[in-house]
Amino acid sequence: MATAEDKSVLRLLVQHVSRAFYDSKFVVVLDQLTHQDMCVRACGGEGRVVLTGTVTVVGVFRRVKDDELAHRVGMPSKEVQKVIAKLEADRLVKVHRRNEIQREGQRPMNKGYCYIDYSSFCNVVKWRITTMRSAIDNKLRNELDNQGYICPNCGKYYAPLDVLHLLDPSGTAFICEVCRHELINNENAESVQGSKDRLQRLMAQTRWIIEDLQKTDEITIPKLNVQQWLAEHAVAKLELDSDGLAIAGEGSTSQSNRVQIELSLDQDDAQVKKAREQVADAQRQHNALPEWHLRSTISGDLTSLGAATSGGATSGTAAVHANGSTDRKPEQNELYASDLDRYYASLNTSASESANRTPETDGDEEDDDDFEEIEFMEYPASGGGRTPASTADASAGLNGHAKRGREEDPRGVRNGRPAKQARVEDAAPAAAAAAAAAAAANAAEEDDEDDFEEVA
Amino acid sequence: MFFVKDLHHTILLHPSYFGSRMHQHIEQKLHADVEGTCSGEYGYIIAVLDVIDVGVGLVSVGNGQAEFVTTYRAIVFKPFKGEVLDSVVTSVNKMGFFAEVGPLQVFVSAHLVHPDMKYDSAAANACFASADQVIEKDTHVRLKLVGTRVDATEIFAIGTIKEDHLGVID
Amino acid sequence: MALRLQQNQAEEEDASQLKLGSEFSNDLCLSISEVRFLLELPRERGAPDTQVYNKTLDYVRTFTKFPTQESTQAVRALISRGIEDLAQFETAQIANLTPLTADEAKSVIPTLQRYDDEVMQGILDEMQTLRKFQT
Repeated sequence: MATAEDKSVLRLLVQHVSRAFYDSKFVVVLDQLTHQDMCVRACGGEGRVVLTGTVTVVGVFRRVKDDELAHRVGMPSKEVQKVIAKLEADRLVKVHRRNEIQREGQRPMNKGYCYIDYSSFCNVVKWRITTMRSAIDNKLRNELDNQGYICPNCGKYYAPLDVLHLLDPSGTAFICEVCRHELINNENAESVQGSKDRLQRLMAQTRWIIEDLQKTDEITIPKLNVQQWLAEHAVAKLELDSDGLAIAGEGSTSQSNRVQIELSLDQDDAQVKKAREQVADAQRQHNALPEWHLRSTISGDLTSLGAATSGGATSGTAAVHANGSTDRKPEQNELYASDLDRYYASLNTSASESANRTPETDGDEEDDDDFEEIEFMEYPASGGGRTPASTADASAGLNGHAKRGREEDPRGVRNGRPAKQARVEDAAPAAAAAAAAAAAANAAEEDDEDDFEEVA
Repeated sequence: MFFVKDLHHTILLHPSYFGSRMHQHIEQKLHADVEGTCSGEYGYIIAVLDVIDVGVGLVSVGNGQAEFVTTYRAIVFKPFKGEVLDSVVTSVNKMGFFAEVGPLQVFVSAHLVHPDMKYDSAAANACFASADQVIEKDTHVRLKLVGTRVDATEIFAIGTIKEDHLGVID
Repeated sequence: MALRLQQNQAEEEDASQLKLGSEFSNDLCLSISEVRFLLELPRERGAPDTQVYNKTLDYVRTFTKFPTQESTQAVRALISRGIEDLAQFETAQIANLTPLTADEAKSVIPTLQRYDDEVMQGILDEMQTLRKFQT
């Protein structure tokens, strides 16, 4: 895997090449591709991680589609395609084309994914530079070969192959055949002047690229599997787009790949469902009527409420209603918390000693009872302040009945629950399940009121 | 490059040579005619190794001379463009230097000498010199021919030493 | 017209591409050492007294790398045994220039670039050994 430094070297190479040999249009496009592809490389190491397809990875992992590229560089798609075609012909950019079905029922569209294959890019650039150099080198040599000599006196030109007979007897100079004047190098020819430093200029101007290429020689450029990348990309896309991205004419490998991922997604769904189920179960259990509501703690028989809950569809609605009423209690608990505080405050003002003792007596009881106690204590407030008179009246008889039951069994005070249950049981024959629940609540609350009064 | 080549040569023999020593005479004439000559096609004919066939003499009508088409085997030397050869420097001047490859004259222009080697006219012998190498008369130089020119009596070539593994040799 | 033809022919010939023209494509190339050996063979009529001959003799005596007949033959055998499909021209050039490294060989005889460096180097090393131990 290429390190960050290697990547910057490769990127620099692309940038140098594009700026040296291409128009700004090409430069912009190539820059985008390096930018994009560096990102691709950046998550290339993770390989399979991409399969799980988090959106962030999708964001950077992208072979640039040419229409997207057009958007990115702010040029018409057609123009970008022209640029890409040129770059592809120059073998700097590779384009992977395939048919894609954008939506169900549409004809597959040919989409191109542009990318830079860095190993081939380096080779192409290397070859180009070498070819350029040898071309200029050859030209230079030929020009020098043909440069020849000229007589400054009469202007006669001699080719290098003519010089054998021009050597003067001392062997130090060439002599013009016509005027016996000493020949000079034919350096005036424009082609010679131009070509003289052409190679030097080329070397100077391609110095950066050659340096970059030397650096890239030390880098092992990872191979790029376009099919695989695209398969992964397609999957990632699936997660992003609600309508999905179906691929036509793809190889079986990518297809299977895709299926595999869908399976993993399904699994995720199942897990989520399961978790939700668990939460719902917990909630249901939490919301279920306490056992003592459904079953007599004394006789062990089903109460009317319990019968209704476990009974047929006809009593189901009633049961639901009952559930609803029990559900509401915690809310009301909060609602009347301030009232409760006031109540405690009043207790405190009346007698601090007795107030201190109150929790102790309650402490003897079970926690469940504490909770119910609180519920019960709300009711005086609600019964006095909010409950319509009719409901109060309706429960009055029951309360009376409960009171009577209470009087019948004075020792039941210690344990509120059995007493309450018993009373509920007594009330049941006369009232409906819902009414019974309310009655039970009211009755119990009356009891606790009594308790406090006793304490007081 | 030196080759062994079978060549043909046509000899016109005066009737006065017709006789028992005719074949010897033909061979002598063949040697004298072809050795040391030069053609564009075959290069220099250095030496005749063997006379393969003197052929059948055909007396031409009118002057009575016999025409023999002889076949002989010879060592020839033909330079090729692009060929690398070892040479001996014969003269140096500011335009470059001349070197010989056997019978072949080669001129190496100063442009085709490595830029490190500068012409030094102040030295006792005119030479091209760099820090560690000198090209002067009688220096052995490995050069590469870049062009040849064939005249009636000789071949002239231009060469370069401005490439890898060319230049002064020990 | 004849000049034009000759020029065209000259244009086509390029030793760096092994284009030696139609006349020399199939002929035996001699190394300098071999030329020396042939020129120094005793002749019944004596050596030709031409400037070309004398200069050539001087030249080959100066640049002979393998002065004995044995080493001259050995080097040719070595080169042609070591590398397959070597052209005559290349064989002679390797023997003449005796490059030390494969890189140098390929630089001075560009057509050798089609061969593997290691094979090349093996031959060159062997050739150096041969040079060193010849008498």
